Amino acid sequence: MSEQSSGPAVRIAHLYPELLNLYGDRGNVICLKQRCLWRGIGAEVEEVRLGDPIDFSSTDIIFIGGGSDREEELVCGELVAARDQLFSYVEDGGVLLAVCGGYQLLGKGYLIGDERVEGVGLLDADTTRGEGPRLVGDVAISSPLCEMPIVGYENHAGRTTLGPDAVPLGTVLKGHGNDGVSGSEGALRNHAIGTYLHGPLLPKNPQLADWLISRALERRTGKPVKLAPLPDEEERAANAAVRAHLGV
Amino acid sequence: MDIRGRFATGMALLANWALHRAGRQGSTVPGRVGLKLDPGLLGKLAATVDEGVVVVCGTNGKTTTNNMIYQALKAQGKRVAGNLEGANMLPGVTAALAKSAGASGSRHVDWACLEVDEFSAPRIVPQVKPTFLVLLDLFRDQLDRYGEIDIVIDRLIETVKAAENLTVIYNADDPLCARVAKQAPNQVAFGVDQDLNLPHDLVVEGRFCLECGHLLSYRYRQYGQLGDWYCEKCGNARPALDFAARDVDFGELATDPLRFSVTGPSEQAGSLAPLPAPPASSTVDLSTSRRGAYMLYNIMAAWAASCLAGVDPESFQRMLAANQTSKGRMEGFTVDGVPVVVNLAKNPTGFNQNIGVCLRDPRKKAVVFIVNSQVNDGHDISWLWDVDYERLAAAGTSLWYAGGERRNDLQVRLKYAGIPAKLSEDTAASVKDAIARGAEAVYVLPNYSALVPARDAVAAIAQESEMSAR
Ligand SMILES: [Zn+2]
Repeated sequence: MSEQSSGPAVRIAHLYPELLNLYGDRGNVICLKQRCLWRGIGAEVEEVRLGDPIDFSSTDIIFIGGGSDREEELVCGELVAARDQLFSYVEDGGVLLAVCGGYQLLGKGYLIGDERVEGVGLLDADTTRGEGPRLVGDVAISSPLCEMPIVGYENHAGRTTLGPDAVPLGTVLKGHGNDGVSGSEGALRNHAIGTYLHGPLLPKNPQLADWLISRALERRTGKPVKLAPLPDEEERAANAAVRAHLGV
Repeated sequence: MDIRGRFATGMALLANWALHRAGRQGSTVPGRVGLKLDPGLLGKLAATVDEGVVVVCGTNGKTTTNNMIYQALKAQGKRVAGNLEGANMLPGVTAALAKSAGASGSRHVDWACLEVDEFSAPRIVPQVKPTFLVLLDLFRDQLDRYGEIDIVIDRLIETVKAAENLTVIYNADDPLCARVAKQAPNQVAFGVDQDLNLPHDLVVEGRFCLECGHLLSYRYRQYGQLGDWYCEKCGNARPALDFAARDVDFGELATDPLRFSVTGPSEQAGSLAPLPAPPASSTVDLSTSRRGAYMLYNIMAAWAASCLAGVDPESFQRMLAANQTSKGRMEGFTVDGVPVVVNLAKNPTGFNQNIGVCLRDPRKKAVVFIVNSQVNDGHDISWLWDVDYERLAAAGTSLWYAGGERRNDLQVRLKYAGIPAKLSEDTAASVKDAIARGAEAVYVLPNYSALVPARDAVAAIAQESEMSAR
């Protein structure tokens, strides 16, 4: 990108990309960065690796992907140790997106194999084994954060139930969502989002990407932000193709 | 074979004949019919194989490698059976052996070469009791169908542990294959004993030590998790190579031959050959018109298995020279004087490998990506974001097309990599469009279910252009 950056660069912390990138999750980081750069807003990605000191004091957006059991266990240990910092970051309006396994381990408890382990507890959500098969397939949800339905792909065995202190990210239009029965999908706390829509969620949902970028810039500058529109023809067509396939 | 087995074999062949007459390519139906009548049929059919059975397993290159071993044994003068079309689950394997056994179930062959799906191996291996299990590589593939790679590994370990007298011929450069092989009664390691200096991709799975969980280190890494790996913490490392490739020369262009030499077998590997042992630690020079680092590994696997099965180097090289590419595997066409290459790319590793091939080609190129999401492809196409398209953007190829059922997703992926791709609804039209715009070489890269239609479309316009040139 040769475009001149203006204003503060958005600092994106990608947590444990070497461990948590089971389903092309890095697509979300690529998307956030490009959508800033296309607007002439600087963007920097910092990859936080296992054992690195955790310091979110200058972070604008945190991203956490999903991994296998072994990898999630390693990560969860690090995040539990950084719990206080993570809580105050989110309380302060810090932006966070966690998908799939990353969503589960931010809850109160989740599963490694069939064993329940304590999560970070940032979201009032609890994941158990539940009955029946893995919940797999395309999903569409409606969310108050976007005017376009959010579309994606889910693949999880765990069933997540939300407690009284969590609101869902959205309502399932088609697919399974948190537990396959409640009709709720994901969890939202302040500007922190957890969702089962794994992998490259943001590229097909540019409005959600822009919601995250806007909240990050507002927190950074203390002023309301209106992002310059981008020609999102391809992104909208991809979103529409999934909806057409799902019939919503 | 007993009466029940013979009857089941006969009925399977009848079903095959009926399907054939109806013009349908039913590669699994005859096997299903036979197994329904006799669930133990596969084991009985395997008894018609006299010298040995080779099972080829792994994520990438099963069909290619299995075909090479089959052809090499034929070139050596053996009678061979095999599922060459790639129907690699229980019914497909059963049907292939039924065909070779004939309607009476009594025709014998010397060897059988069977490509077997990783998840079907636990059911097939105990019945066919292979002499050699060839383990090519274990990459993330079709995730939403199968779950994580860990499950595949656990099941393969159980399978090889339980098999008596089995020799696993495995890719030692892959720590995941090494983990499985370790549990087998006998092991033969093949690998590449030099840094191939390939541009690095981003595939990261399998980078942990499977003994202690520590992040693996590499003296050099080829692609994916393949390379000369070791664990700093527990000392786990790539095993000594029984067959080692050296002096690898890829040439400059995609059309140059691949040349390399192989040293092997080691003494311990030679002692595992069922026939009198081949000479230990000899060096064989091989060359092929097939290209790419993954082809190098496939040929290494094929040579290791063929050598231990009694194929001499001359027969093997003769097979390599005669062996035209299989359909849609680096298959070359000419349309209006412009070379068009069709190659299967079904997962991030496959795509990254293809990107490497494109990058080495200095001509003005066009690339037609085609991605479907049928059952065989995996419904989840999130892996598109694990492919390192950014590398290709940096190479400045000028014409891009995104096709297949998931062309919209592909177009978005390419857009974020800095690649403006046109939507393609018709492969032939896109190839012609690229040539009209001055492409000097066209790469058509379909995934699994997109391969045959794309390949046939290119073959048709290649034939048209040949006719009109006359
Ligand atoms: Zn170790």
